[in-house]
Amino acid sequence: MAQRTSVQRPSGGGQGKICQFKLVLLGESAVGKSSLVLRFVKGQFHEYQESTIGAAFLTQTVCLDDTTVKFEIWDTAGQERYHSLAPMYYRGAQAAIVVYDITNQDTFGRAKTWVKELQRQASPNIVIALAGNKADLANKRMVEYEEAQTYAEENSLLFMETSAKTAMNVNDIFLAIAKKLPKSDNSATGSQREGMTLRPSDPTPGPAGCCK
Amino acid sequence: MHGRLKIKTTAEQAAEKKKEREEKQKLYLAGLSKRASGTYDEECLKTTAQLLAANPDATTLWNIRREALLAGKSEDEESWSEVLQGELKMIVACLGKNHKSYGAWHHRCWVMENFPNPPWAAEVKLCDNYLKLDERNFHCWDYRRFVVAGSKQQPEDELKASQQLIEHNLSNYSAWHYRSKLLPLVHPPPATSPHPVAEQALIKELQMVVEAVFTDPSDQSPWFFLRWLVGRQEKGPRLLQVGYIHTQGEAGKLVCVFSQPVPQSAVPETTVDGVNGGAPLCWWAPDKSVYSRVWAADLSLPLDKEHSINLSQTGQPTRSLMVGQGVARALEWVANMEVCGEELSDTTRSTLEEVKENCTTLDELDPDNKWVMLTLVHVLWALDSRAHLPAILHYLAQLQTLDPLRHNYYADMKSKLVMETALRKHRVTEVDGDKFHVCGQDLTRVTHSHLLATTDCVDLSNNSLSSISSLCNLIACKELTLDQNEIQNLSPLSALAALQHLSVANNKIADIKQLSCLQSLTNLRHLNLKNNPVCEMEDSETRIRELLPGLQTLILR
Amino acid sequence: MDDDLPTQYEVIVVGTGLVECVVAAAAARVGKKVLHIDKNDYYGVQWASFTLKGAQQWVDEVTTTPAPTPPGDCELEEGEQLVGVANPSEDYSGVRQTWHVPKEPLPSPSPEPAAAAPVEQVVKEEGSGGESTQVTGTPDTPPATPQDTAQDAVQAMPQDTAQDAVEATAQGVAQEMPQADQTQDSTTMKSEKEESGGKKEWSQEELLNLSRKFNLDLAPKLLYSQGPMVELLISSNIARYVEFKCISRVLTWLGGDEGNLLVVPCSRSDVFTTSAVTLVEKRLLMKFLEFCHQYDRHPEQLEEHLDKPFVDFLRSKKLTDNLIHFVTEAIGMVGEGAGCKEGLERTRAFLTSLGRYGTTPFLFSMYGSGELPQAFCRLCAVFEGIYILRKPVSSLVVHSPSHTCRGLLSEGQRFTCNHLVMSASHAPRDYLPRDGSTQGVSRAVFLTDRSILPHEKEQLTLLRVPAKEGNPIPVTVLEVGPGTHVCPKDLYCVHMTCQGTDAESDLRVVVERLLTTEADDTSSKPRIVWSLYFNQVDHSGM
Repeated sequence: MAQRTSVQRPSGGGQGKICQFKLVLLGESAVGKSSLVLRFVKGQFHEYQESTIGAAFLTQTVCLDDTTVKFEIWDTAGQERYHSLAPMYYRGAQAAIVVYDITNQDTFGRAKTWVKELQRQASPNIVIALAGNKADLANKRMVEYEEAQTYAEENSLLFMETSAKTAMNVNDIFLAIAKKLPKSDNSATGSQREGMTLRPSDPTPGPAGCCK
Repeated sequence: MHGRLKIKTTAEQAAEKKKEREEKQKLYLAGLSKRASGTYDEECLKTTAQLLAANPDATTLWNIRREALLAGKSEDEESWSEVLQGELKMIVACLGKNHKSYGAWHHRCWVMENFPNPPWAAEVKLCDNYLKLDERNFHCWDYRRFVVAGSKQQPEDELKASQQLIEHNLSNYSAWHYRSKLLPLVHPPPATSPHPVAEQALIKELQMVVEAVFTDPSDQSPWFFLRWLVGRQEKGPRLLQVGYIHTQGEAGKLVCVFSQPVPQSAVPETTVDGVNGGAPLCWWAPDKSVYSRVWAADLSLPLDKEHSINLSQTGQPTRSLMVGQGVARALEWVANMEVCGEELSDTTRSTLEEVKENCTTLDELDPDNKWVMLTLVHVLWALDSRAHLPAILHYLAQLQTLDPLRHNYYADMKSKLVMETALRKHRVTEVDGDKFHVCGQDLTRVTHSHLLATTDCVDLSNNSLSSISSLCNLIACKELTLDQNEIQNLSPLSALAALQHLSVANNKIADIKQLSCLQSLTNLRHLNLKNNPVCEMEDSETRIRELLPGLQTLILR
Repeated sequence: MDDDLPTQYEVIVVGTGLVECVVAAAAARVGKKVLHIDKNDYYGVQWASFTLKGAQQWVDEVTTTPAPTPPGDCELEEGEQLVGVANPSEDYSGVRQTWHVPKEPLPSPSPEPAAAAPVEQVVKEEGSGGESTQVTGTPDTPPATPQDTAQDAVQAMPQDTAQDAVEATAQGVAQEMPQADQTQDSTTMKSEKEESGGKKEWSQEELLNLSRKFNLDLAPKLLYSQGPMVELLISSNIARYVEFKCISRVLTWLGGDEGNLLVVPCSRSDVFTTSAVTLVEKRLLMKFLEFCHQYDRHPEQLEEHLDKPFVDFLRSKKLTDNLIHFVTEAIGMVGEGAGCKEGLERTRAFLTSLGRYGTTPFLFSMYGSGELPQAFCRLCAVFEGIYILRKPVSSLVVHSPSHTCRGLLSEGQRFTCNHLVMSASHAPRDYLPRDGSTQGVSRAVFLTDRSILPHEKEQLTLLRVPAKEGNPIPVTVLEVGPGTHVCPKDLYCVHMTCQGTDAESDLRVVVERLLTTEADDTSSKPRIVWSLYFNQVDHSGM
């Protein structure tokens, strides 16, 4: 967004509207889904991240010009391992990152399947990003950048090669998604959800609960 | 991980808090220094935005921000609008921190006022949202009225909005109150109607509010609305009475009595014997206030010949008084007035009857509900206070036991009722001399005293009066009896120049200084102070006589 | 496929029904090593929510007698034996699915008015399940090819859950085609509707194309807003995986066959705005509800009533017949024969949950009740529980001398565990008590073209039709719409449940009162587009 006036509203500082989105991660086991999230949310990387200890539910915010985008990030919690991911996982997801491992051609094939699955299962407006992870292992590359990029273009996906280890493109891919997401003006609550989420802080009706 | 929150150690937290505070302080100081040097740049906006997002109550920062915005204001309407749009978003962020921030709401008003084309419609929605969050957020209610006024939002739509809020929660006092402000706009009553709204609407509203009080009679919000609805509107101040009272020699007073306190400028133009020359009349209020129900002017007229006094008001017929040739008093009741308002129309009567029926039913279903009783008191009072006097007194007595915290409030209501009833009777029987008395009725205060401004003789013995401040209106009173009360202070009587007889036996006057206010009463001849603490004093008689040398009779024991 | 799948667990849970999932989540949460398996390709067993095609496959599944699973074979230690498990499908009987709309969309506006009314083509798939006779459908199959292709499409996508669909695509089946068709269809549908300005005329083909827009519950579940399940969801942090909507109105049926539906005033705001009760009734009802909310604080008022009928107590509180109906049938939901204590308790349960999330006490999960078991599974998975669908159990490994279960056999592989959890539906029949303590539940699911009581906003409706004035059994009716993502736009999904053993006959009175199958019915009743009746064994009373 270009600066159009001399006195522009400053960016950052937690102002403007806040939009919250559900983002799901998909991809074969061991392609680095959890590592990507961990890097994005906490700036950490563990070489020997235990498999499937999914960061089940993490949040991170990204600041755009006048909007704060809050990602509610769902990891698979390992349920994809035996092809048993629950359909609940996709419900209401507005964004998805499909991850593959650039050193493993099979994972790219599976990634394509996940994309198709998202196109069928998830909401029609979902923003999908394809992440070729482990880009730091380029010497063991099995999936060519161009191949993945062509596929992404054909399917209107965002595409980046990433490395959770070196942090390459990790923030960028989330930022790119944030930019592409539709930001409605319903900012009083910031939630894009249709239903209610039950929370510990929900009011418990007092003795006169029936009457109010 | 695993969705479990990492709990930071308190030391870590404290350090972070401290860092945050220092950061803020630095920013704050930076903001202030910019103001001092007059550098209103983007940096300044950024700084204030950050600070205000954390603390939207910092008024100074809002001021700096406005100055900075104006300093950088672009001539181009479009870009200025865009900046202001940005402000609206920024305020929402601040309201997220504190939705009752004076500064943030005030800034929002300022932004809207500065818009070339204010986006009003979105603001109405914003109010809807914040009121959903907190239906009693009065900042938002205020802002809503501001928006409605600015946007020419139809009051009909607002009426609907208030209905929805009430239907959602009938305890929403703000919404009921808003409704009472909107209804007269949407359904204005005819000019002569005593009702706050047109009849059709009145009946519909009554139905709704009665359903509310039946649903939850313990909630006060609908009751207040109900009382507003059945209450009758004072149609502006009316002139009730004009009169001339001769006091002594050639001295006399011209008196005007109004239904509501008015300023001196509201007193009619007066001519005496066809001329308004001579010394101009000097009008004064008995309690020396700027607004008063009673206005008087000293006017000396030789009584050996006839005088005509004309009082004229724009748009009103001229009132004439004939004085002289043996007529020492000339009074005219201008308005065909009932003590507490106008005669009831048929619709009002049937409406009130219906409310009475409903409340009586409710009283049976939910005995001991003070709101039911209080409403019954008001309705019966409005219907016919004399006919319902026993019932009203019964309810008031019950209310006094049920709601002891407001014991005195109910006592005052009772006093008002007693006074009204007595005044009505007094008016009817006025012909045979001018004596007014309410004795042994437990009066706690004297209401409607302006209707006694021309009365000769007033007896309020044997009541529970402690304050007599309203008696200053009795400017024509020659004989005043206040025995058996709880009076300590006589100063309100200092303006009753006509007073000749004063009896305050069996009261609580303890200090001889209290009597010094009677020094101005040059006509006072008889004073009864029997059984007051002051009488126990040594030399009391000598000292009182010294103080009030004009006294002929002084009763102390 | 999974050589690295461990074979030793502390807890193995068989079947992903709601209760099993709660146990699995709890076990994983306290650090137990959990394996959770289900023979189906979907989560939920009897709590599953299906797409429209998924529902049809379920009908096929439960109406086909499965080939008996061979008990399998593995090395056993001394004293161990293999015990076969039951098939939960055997809990179902009387399954009957019926279409009430033509297979294909009607040609655009026909000159003959008669053709406008869709011909009722009923595809019957009858079966009482279990060991009894299997009636194969006798559809008057038209030779038309579109039907065949539709059928083929179903075959091509045999499984509706996420994972399997992925597999289907992986096999190179062109999946984008149906997707494209679907979009196209839904747009044409919309324009058609706009043109005619009237109610939409559905066809089976159109509905099946929208299959994924359905989440049809086998066992719809409402949660009390203040009930233990909600507390569990919140305290375990599972609540954040699921979105809910509050039931927006509670209805009652007043009168016999000619009676009508009324919105039950239950919150203070309802009582204030309703026109179903008089002014004085408003006060009486509010007074009673306030009393009931804390009835045990007034033992003196109850003493003489507690062992007597609820109705008598209500009369003593001067409630009118109208109010008694509301309180017993719709708020307490106990019927007029209930005892005072039960009535008060149930009424209080209702009132306690009122106002927490909405103006009724009940919550319904978006995308159907099948979300609840999935949410518990997710928590279990987060705490390292292992999930495998399409994993049948051949038999249990039981050590007879010690009467303990040592594990199970699945697809030729032996898994061992310290604890095995399975529902009564899965359990070897010999293990169940033989005293016939099970009851039957009659259920029906309908897709209809409008709400049973239309309102300007979409409503989530709970209705309990009392057992009086011609209706033999109290029937609970739940109507949910597209706003909960259980069905596409312009449709409603109606669930009916009662105790019984013959769904069609048990529910007949209520179905006839509320719904119709006639396309040109002059009444304003919703028209049934599709229906599914079934009976289920209820083991909960065991």
